Amino acid sequence: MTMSPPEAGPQDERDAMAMDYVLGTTTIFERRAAEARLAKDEDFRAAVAQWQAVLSPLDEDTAPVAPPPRLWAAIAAQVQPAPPLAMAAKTVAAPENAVPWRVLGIGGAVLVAAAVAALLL
Amino acid sequence: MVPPAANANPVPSAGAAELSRLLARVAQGDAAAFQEFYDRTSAKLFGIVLRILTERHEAEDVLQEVYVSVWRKAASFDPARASPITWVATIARNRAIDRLRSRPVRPHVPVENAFDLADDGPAPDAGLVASQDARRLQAALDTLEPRHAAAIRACYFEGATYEELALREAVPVGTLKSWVRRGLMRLRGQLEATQA
Repeated sequence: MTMSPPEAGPQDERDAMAMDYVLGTTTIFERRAAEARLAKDEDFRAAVAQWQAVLSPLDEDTAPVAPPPRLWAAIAAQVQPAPPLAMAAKTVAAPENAVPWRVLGIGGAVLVAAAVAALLL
Repeated sequence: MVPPAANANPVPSAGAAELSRLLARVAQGDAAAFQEFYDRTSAKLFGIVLRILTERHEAEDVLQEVYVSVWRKAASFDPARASPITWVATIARNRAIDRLRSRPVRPHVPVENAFDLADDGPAPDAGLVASQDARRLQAALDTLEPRHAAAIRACYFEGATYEELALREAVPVGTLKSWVRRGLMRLRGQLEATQA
């Protein structure tokens, strides 16, 4: 069970929850509860940010591993049909913005069609 | 080696500033910036996700989710609150741990390691030059009981739960929890002290 020193107050509870969440030891239900709290509790957000700042340098201890090239293709395919709505509107007005999409192998016409479709939704 | 005397405040590295600029462009829907951001960060994030999930196929799947999420959420990145690499690494860890927790059974811990909570230590080829933050954190970890430091690292790197680690270490869950939590409080205290 929870190890709480006798003097544990709401602040300790918050800190422990933030610590467990950042460390990643919690169950899926506790994780969802922490995320819900993140959305509405500013003190909890600050506690989480603080633990992230403490622990994130550990990420440097993990050796990088190059993902297979097919992964980028899969990601690009997934984000292409759904550019953010605001951008889609701009793209219709200024077709030169469509150029970067050609880098990903998609034609401007397809993009404009997607943008129009997005606007209609 | 002489530590920099006057420059006590952490200054965002050139890499971080560049990644922040790329994210700002990604938030505008700039696909070329998104690809460059991917090229610069994906090996690091794949390493993190793979370490948690160990299974390659699953790790690839999660990495894909992470970048789709970066594309959608780039506008919510605030360089004043976190470094861009911490921001994406957090997204990656969270996704990987969610995936780990959603597994019906967990093939993560090989049986022969079940009673041995060895601290696997920093990966030998992890980074050629550890940042100052990483060195300070490592120094603080080194002052903890080795078993406690190892428990903290196992939670962070493998996404292990208190219950799993307690089983591995053959101690009550409460004991394991208190190792980790007290250890973290000490770490934080030491980091605050060395920062002052």
